[in-house]
Amino acid sequence: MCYTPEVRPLRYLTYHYDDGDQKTILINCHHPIDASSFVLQYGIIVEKSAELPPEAAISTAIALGDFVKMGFEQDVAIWKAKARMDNPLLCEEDGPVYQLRRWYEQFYVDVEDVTPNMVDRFEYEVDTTCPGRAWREEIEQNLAPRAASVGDL
Amino acid sequence: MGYRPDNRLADAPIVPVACARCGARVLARKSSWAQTSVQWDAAALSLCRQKREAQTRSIAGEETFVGCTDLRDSILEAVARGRVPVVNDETAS
Repeated sequence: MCYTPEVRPLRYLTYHYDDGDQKTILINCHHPIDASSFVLQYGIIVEKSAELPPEAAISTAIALGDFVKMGFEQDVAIWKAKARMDNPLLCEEDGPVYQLRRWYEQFYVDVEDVTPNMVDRFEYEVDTTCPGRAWREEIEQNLAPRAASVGDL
Repeated sequence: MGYRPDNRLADAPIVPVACARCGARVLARKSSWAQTSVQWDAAALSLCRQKREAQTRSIAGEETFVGCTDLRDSILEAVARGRVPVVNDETAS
């Protein structure tokens, strides 16, 4: 099995400039072709600026598309230089690496060998708007009278 | 292909939580106050009402289910009751 590339099939990136925003989308897909390699395909689309004259809008969009391509190919160069480690020692900030590999494994076995744990839904959510301490105090206050009336379940 | 189990689960396991609305049983874990992992299985997903509602809403098979807010509430309640530990809890007093 190969090293797992970053599974992020769509990237929406908006570039902020003094004279306005430029929206770009990068789509990529990769499919395994043998036990240790895959084919990577990608495409980039850039929204033409409505403010610029048509020719300048085209050339600016092409230049930005080339820039996005350069950034993505830098990532590809990193993936190519990496070796797979089956048992990485992870810290919390590394994210769901094992879960991602478990999901990804379904594409490296025959269809009849796909197991539920490869396809079961797994959510990894980061909500930085969650109000934290204040919210926690509130929910604890809300729970207290209920616990008093029904006992701790 | 066998992997060593996720070392992080040794410190703080992923634990069962049942949804107060539909009874779906999932596994949940919080590595921080902001981060939540939810492991579903087919049985839990078939019970989830918001999943079903999302399927009804979806156009041309497009999946619109990003998560269940009822389950989310049940998980947060379990956190407040101390049943789901928060690994790096910056909100703990």
